[in-house]
Amino acid sequence: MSNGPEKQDWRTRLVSWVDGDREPKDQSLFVMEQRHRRRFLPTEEEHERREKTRLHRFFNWYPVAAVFIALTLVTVLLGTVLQMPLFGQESNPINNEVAEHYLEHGEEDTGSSNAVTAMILSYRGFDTLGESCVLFLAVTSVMMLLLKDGEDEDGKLARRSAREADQEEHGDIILKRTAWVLTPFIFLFAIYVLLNGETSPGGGFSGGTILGAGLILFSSAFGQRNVRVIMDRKTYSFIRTFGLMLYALLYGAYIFFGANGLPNYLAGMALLIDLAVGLVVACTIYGFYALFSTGEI
Amino acid sequence: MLETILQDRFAVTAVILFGIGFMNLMLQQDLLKKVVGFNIMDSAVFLLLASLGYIEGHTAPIVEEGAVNASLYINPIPSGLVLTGIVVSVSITAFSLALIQRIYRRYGTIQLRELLEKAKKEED
Amino acid sequence: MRPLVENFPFFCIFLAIVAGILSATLCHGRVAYGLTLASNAVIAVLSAYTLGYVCTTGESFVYTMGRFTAPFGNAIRCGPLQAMMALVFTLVMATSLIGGQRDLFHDVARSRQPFYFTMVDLLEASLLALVYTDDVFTGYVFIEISTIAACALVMAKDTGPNLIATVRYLFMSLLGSGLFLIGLTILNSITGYLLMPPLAQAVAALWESGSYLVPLTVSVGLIVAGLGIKSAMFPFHMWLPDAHGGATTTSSAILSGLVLKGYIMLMMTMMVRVFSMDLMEELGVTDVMLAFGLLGMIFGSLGALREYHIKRMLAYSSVAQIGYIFMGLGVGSTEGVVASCFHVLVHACCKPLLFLCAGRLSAVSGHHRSLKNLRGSAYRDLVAGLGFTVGALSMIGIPLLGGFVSKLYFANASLLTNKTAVVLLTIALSTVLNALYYIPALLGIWVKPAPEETAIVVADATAEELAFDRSFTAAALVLMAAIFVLGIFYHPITDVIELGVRHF
Repeated sequence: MSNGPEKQDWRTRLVSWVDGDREPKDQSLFVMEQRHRRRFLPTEEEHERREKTRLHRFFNWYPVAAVFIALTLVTVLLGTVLQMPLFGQESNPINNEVAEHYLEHGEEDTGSSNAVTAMILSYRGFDTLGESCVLFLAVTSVMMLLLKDGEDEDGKLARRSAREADQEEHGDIILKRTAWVLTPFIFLFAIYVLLNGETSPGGGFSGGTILGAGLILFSSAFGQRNVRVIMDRKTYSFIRTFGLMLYALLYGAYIFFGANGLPNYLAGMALLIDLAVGLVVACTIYGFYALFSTGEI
Repeated sequence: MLETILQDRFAVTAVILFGIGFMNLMLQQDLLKKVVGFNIMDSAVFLLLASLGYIEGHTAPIVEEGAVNASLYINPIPSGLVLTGIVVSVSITAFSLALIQRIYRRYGTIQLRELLEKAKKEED
Repeated sequence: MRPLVENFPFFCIFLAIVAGILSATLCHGRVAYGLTLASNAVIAVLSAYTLGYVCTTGESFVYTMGRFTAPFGNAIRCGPLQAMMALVFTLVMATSLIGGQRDLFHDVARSRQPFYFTMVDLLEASLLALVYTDDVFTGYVFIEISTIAACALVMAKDTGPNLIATVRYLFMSLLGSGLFLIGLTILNSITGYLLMPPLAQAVAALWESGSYLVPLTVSVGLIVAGLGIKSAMFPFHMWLPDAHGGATTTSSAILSGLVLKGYIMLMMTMMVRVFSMDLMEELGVTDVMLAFGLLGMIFGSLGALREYHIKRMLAYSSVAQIGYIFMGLGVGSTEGVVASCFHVLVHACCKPLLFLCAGRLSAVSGHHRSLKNLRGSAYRDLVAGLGFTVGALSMIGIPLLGGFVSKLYFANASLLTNKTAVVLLTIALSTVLNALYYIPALLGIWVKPAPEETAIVVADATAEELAFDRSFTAAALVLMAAIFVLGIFYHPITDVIELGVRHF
């Protein structure tokens, strides 16, 4: 019985120590019982205030430090580039046997006379696979952020999109006419660039971008609803994943065959890979536009 | 000295651009301007990278038939790397712009300082 | 025709990518969750086989990604260390997913759940690629993948402060990868290679001949600084507490336990395989790393002392633990690298455990996260309390737990250098500081408050949250067991690490 209050006291003290109480511990039991229970509110306000002053101090010092770091960095880099191999010299270390091999054996190795295409699709294709994954991830994360799905819909957004739909109806006549004439040619050009990446500047990335740009032009002239006639959300996500999946599978097989010294069963696959990359890129470009403008695809 | 600078003009420009971008990324309070800064920075790196592969008097690395000789073309490697880099930079720009759009919708501002103060208040 | 097992590292990366793409097409989060766990299980099995294979042969092997060998095509390289890291990362990733499952499906909006798992899968792919890569530019591409995926994991829990934390995290990461890329560009311009073995030869030749010394030094500095920013090396850690502290439990566990380690593994690979430790030492890079590591150990702990928000406290503690790893690298000897690798493992098990337990403790306290509201919460979920205790004691460095062994190895590594005194003193100081914030937290969760106080806190928790969480319990038990294994049967593990460091 007599133990009770003392035990209680031990606990309160411990608890207040855990909370960071700085009260002297040598006060008598009587005083401890007299004392009100510790209130947390003031400490929290105190904490908030301290945080705020910290923030202010941070913002006062930050620019100075940033300017200092940036200037140092620029000076160091300037010093560095002046010590680097001179611009445009053939004897620079970067122009070594690797580049020579890409140029001289690229065509027989990969069947593409454009050395850059040969490099990004065959020699260093794993990087390009990673790069396509970056594009895929970017669209996915933008979808995570901006896609409207009714769950976290607030009224403002709904109204906004309604207004936009209204505006779409009264599209600009010049834009409409121009788009009407241009879009087919843009698509044609895109396909041309897409399919000729091996022998001329171009390939999946450039062709896909042009294709995406054509879609954007079409969509901004005639409204997204008309795009949705040929490509609704399901089709879009199908094409998007299909492109990357095709690419990943083809390239996975290519790596597997290559690394194990099996004959190259996929000799003519560069075209297919270009096509797959083109699909991924076109979907990415158009997806960005659609998501940023209306939050829908 | 001056001759080196003139010869390395692309690299020097790239470094200056890099500095501008870096300052923007660090100093601007406006998130949108930070993204612009980041883009300048990335472009500077791409300029530097692209300039590395250039060889004076050589042409684009598309090998023509009957002219399979590496001493006719520029180095294809940096061009390929720049291509990869640009794609990555586009993706990241899109992601950060989406993030900024979202933040603006929630807080009505994109000034980092105000945002930090508001976020501090919102935390438990 | 090479043995099939040598294909496994590539299969692991490939499988993670394919699982990520498939997840995005699924409509239900639960299905994507199952797919992710299944792919993780397969990857773990494959990695275990690989580990067994490389341990029996005792050598590393290079796997060309395609038909073209070393200086022409991409390649990955797998040795004992890489295989072990891949195995542990995969297992920890799966355990974090299982353990934080309830919070995950509560915090992430239903329509976004499949996307969340896409991010997790591709993060896994990027971690594996960062561990295995033998090509610096592949390293850059996968760094960017993990940047986007990690940021997406933070913002998956859709609150205002989280969005802001994400944007800060993103900008810091961009700065880091920008510096890394420009460092890479400079390195490429003076050597002309991107694959690590010829790059290493070229760097050694440059160092021998003494040409292009300034660009070489600067590029080393930029690469280390870039990766340092991304892995929250001390002066660049500002973004970490908000990003790791605010995210949903699984995200915090993955980010703190694994993502930082991915960059550190790449940095180690660059240091050991490309630049070689001797060069790093002569350039003074190791000294700078040592200094930053030691400062990080102290300032991270000091930051944690100020926090009353449990997850942010753990996040600051990560800064301190990263400091340990950099300290090990900064010692500049093979022993230091071994100690760092072991600490990577310990921290990869400890921090997810702490985050999972903290998440669970706050779930049974109505999602309050300040320490005062968690008082007595250990009694509401005993396993969470026990797990938190084990994790915290391991962080402090109590014998029989993993943290103790890694501190022992760090101390041991420092004995052979001339930096013994400062390293040992800082380890001691950091241990005291660790104890100063972990012990009050432990007391806080184990001391029973007055019943009425508990009632107020518990009133915010739903019955569903108070119910027994089977998946969490399983995950916490597994991680606790891992910490005990690392603390008691550490010899086989360090043997593998030593073998791996020899054949980096």
